[in-house]
Amino acid sequence: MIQRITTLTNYLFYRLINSMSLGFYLLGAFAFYWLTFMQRTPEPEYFILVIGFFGLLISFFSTLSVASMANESKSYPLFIRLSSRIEFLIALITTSLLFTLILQLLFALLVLLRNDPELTLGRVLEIPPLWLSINILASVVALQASDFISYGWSRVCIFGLLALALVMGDNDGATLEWLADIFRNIANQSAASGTAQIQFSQALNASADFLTGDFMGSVGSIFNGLFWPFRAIIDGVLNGYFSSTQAWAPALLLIFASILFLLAADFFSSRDMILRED
Amino acid sequence: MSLTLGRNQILGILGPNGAGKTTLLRVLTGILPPNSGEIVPLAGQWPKIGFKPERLHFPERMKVRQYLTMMASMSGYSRRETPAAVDQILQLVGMTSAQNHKISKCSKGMRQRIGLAQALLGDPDLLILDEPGDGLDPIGQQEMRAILQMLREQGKTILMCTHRLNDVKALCTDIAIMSRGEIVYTSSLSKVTESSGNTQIICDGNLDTIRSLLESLNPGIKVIENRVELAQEALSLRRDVLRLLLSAGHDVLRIERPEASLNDIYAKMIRQ
Repeated sequence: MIQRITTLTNYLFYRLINSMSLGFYLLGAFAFYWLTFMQRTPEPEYFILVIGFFGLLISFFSTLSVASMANESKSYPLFIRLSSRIEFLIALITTSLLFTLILQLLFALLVLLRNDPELTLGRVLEIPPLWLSINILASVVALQASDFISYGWSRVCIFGLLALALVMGDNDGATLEWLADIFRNIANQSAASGTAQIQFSQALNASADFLTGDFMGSVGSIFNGLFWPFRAIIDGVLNGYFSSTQAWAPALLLIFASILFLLAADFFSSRDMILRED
Repeated sequence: MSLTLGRNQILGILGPNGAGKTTLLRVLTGILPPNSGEIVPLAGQWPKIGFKPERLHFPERMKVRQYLTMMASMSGYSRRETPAAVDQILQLVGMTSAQNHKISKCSKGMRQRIGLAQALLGDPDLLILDEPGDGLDPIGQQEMRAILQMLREQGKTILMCTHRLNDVKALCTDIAIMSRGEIVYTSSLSKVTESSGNTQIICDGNLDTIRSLLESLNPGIKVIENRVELAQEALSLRRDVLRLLLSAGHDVLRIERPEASLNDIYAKMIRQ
């Protein structure tokens, strides 16, 4: 199994670095450097967070690229030799993480050499768990977005849920307040336009009250919890130290990644492997 | 659907486009999960499978040897065993001299050989080939047939889908005909060719004078110009027929038993 995963990883990495995508990633990296670091000597927290975000982007998009390459009919003879399809998923994620890590380290090296941020050893030691956990999560989220893994409505469900969580889980419920205000404004306009619209206006007011009510507040706090690890990481980096609770954030991201990976594996194991003929 | 396939057998699956041949192979190889039901191997355990798909796509920038080395590693050969295994396969499919060619530079025939080579790596018990002779010139086809024949003699079981009846005649020990997703006919090739050909007795002249006498013996007897055709059910009367012919003064030039044409059986099954 390890031998097959290693071989597949080598193969997918070979495909990735021999494809046009490599050029796009390098161009993207230079554009990102120009936008974020060209004009300044970064503070350590800026360095950690911005390159962490760079890793998230590369990890997400390189997973999509590798998944697209794996989704070609060239892969049939490889599939036949697997004892479990999960081997392919592991190789895919490993390839993308390896590629991201190399690009991220080169990017960091470029910033270190050209912009000379003042990094202490303590701050350098903070970096690996943060960057790695974010990269792994981004890569697994990208799996759900790729044609190789998802099919039918699965993608819509996963990303619909994610969008809902983003809306519901904002820190102070501002999005829901904003939505409720819109409903109330429409309700007021409808009520003013005549008695025929009163029922509609009442329904909108009731919806606005529901959105700002206790129930949605509780649901919002649950969704809010989903984004806590990201806030904890940002707060920890900005403060210059992690509290004992904040230190759990990378581990929590890895737990999210594991759940999404299991979901992807489940989709993948029952998928028709009719791959793209080129 | 039930298929029986033993060692040393080559089963050819025939059928028109859209009959479900490729789908069947994909289900057998696990690429496609069955819509319903399950696949139960008779031996209780899944055999090791080698698969050559119909349309061959390879990582074009790789060299032949590099690709086969990767496939050997995927098939479980250790780093030490791989070079010898790849050499052996390259020799078997006649690609030793082209081992350092980029796959993108290989001809269609060479690509068929690479497809077969990768399927053979890992010493599979069951070789599943979708259109193995496709794109090969006549010499290439002969060589491919020789390789498959040799593999059969080595004890390999081969399942192949093809449109080429000549390949089936030359290679297969058994045939299955598919139509609309179902297997409508299975038989060993020898039985097919034995089964339905009428025995013909060819004489030196026109047999019109004794036609009614001969045809009255059995409805399976037909007289056409200078020949008597005996269907299977009338075969037991061949001595009587010969005696009548000789007594009427005719010389018997030859007795023939033409093989039933695979094309005829195929066409008949598909029409049904």
